[in-house]
This record gives sequence, structure tokens and C-alpha cells, in this order.
Amino acid sequence: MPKTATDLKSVDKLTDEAVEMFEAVAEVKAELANAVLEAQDAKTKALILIVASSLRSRLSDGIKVKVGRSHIDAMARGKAIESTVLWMATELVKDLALVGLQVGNFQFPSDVCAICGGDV
Amino acid sequence: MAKKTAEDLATTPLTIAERHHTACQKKLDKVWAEIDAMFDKTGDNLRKGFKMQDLDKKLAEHARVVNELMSAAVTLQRYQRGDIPAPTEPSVPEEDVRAVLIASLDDKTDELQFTVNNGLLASAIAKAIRMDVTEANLTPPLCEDHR
Repeated sequence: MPKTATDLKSVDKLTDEAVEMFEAVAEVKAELANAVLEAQDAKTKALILIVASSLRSRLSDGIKVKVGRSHIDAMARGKAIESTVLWMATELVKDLALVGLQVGNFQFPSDVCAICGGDV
Repeated sequence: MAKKTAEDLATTPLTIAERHHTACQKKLDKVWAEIDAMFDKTGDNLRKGFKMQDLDKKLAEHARVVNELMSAAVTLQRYQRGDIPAPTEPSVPEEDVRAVLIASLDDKTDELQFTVNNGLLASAIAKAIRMDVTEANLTPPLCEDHR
């Protein structure tokens, strides 16, 4: 069946919803990242920020959201990308620690599950 | 602010010790200038409105800074003499760090669009942190589902 103008509009709407979802998830990720950062000393915090900076410098401005079977280019608002990058940096350092490689003086936050971020 | 040179950004133990020594020296100069300012121009008489407690405080600070400077000077000298060998090799092979990073990146890059692939991204990160990665047996806290 050929696509109509109504179909195109619904794709825009779905894209907006996917971006909103990305932004909402980014807020949760920011909280998880802060919980990890708070458990670190100054040196380790700096190393995590170095990882975040390495990621950020190789990142394009937009995001790609999944709408149906397609991936659509979109723009995220606010600090969603920064929060996601910071979360990624903490997760990378955490994954290294899980296999016995400690970055700086990395310590797991004591009250958060190292795998899912849930309460211990 | 002056642009930082590669030398400013270098973070070998020797450069850190040098910078710490310079910072301590500056701190001492500052404290000494403050003590000096408590005296009048002749350098013999105390200024009007002078309080003995202020001088006591400054002299105590001066003693602390002198100790800090002495300690920084000893550390610097040990690095310069080579008594403390500066690490020149990472304690964990960069390739091992990179391999873990690639695996970790695989499920985290969903919406983000990187300009390089995960292998190159992992290489860049591994290179940036390699001197600060050591082997350690940390016990991760786990929730009931993941125990």
C-alpha cells in the first residue's frame, strides 16, 4: 500500500517519542553515573572524565533512534547526550573492574548492584 | 589564559613532582610576603592595628608550608636521581584493556553515533588510561538477582 502524508506525520511523531524516551533514559543514566562518580577519589574521577572526553570527541552531534524497523537521525535536547556519555564512561570503567582491571583507584559504589544498578 | 603546552599536559611522576615543588615554593613566597606585610616599611616595627594572633597564625602556616616544600624537594630529588623508578610501561597490556572495552562498548552505543568504530574507540580510550590501569581483585556489590 502506498504511504500517505498521514503516515509520514506519524513517523515524525514516533521519532519525537523515541527522542523523548532517549532523554528520559539519559536522566536515569546521569543519576547512575553520579552514584559511581561519588564513590571515587579525585584521581579516579579525573580518569573517568578522560574516558568521557575520549568518547565525546569522537561523537557526532545527532543521535539515531529506532522507529519501527528503521533507525532515524534525530537531535536530542538538553544534556541528554552529555549524560549518556558520562554514564558510558562510568560503565566502561566498571566493566574493566568486573574483570579485575582497576582504573586509578576505582571502587564500586557500595549500595548499588554493579551489574544492574539496582539496590543491593 | 596562556595555552597549555605539551609539557604542561605531561603527567609523568617526574613532571608531577616538579609541578608540586614549584607550587609549594610559590605558596611559601606568598606566606612570606603576607608576614612581611605585617611589618611597616622599616621592617622592624609591626604595623598599626596588628594582632599577635594573626602573626601566630601566619607563622604556623609558614612552618607547615616549609615542611611541605621540604617533602616535595626530597621527592623531586629522588625522582631526578632515579631512586624512584618512574613507570614507563603500563602494568596491564594495552591490548587487554582494549579487548574488554570493545566488548563493553558493544551494548552501549545504541543511539549515539560515533565517528569511528568500536575498535578504534576502544584503542583511543585504552591509550588514554593505560598507565593508570592495574590488576586488582575488587568485590562488586550485587543485588539478589545477580548474586
